[in-house]
Amino acid sequence: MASKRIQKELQDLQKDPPTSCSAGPAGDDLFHWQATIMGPADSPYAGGVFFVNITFPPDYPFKPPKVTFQTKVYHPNVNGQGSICLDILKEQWSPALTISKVLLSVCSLLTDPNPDDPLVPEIAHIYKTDRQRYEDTAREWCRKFAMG
Amino acid sequence: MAKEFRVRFRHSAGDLGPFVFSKDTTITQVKDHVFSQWPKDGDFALDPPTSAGEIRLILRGKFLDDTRALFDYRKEMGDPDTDSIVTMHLVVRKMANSGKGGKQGGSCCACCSIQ
Repeated sequence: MASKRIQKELQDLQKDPPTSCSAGPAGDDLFHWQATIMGPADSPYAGGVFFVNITFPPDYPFKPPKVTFQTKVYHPNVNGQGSICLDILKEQWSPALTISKVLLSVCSLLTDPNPDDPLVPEIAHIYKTDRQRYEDTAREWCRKFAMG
Repeated sequence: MAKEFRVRFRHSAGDLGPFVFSKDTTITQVKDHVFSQWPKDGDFALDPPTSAGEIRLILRGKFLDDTRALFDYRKEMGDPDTDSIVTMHLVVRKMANSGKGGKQGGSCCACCSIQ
């Protein structure tokens, strides 16, 4: 069941992937994928390419995939381990969602952080009180870690 | 087994191609071809690569290696037959030392941060 569904998502992504992300199995294991997200043009992450790890649970799509950044990101909803605080990866997950939609949501999160539900309160505080400093730091991290 | 691959390149400005490549074409040669075909107008012209070396190709979430041939990536391309079109992502990576330095210090062109 899970592998059939994952295979189908892979075929769909192959045929017509979103402009801003690319994804597929990292090796022979269909349940472990690697993805890239291109930093949105209207964000401090523009020009960066961010690597993302995806692990599908055995009962996918009834449980959400685990999605983490491999590339360091300065963002209120992404911590030092690359964990992402995003509702659809937790309680708002629905079997109707796909990896493609999840990756697009992560893209939107890069453009529009959610500082009221932060994973890194310090960054959320800077985002809220000193937007310029947040953007400068995010841009600097992007240049350092996502443009190598 | 396909002898050639039809590949289109998905960039933030739109799609390039598809172009047809023989299966032995190396990734370096693919980049050279894409660079030579880079559109001179439209959104593609806004931030064009200055050399083929600034082009990065991505398939299934991985950068493609310059020294390898397209044929080496047939599995990642989903074993396409001659008629099917393979879609890759393309990003332009400006060389770090291009020395434009316009945004150094961040004080010169800070705008649009307030909605």
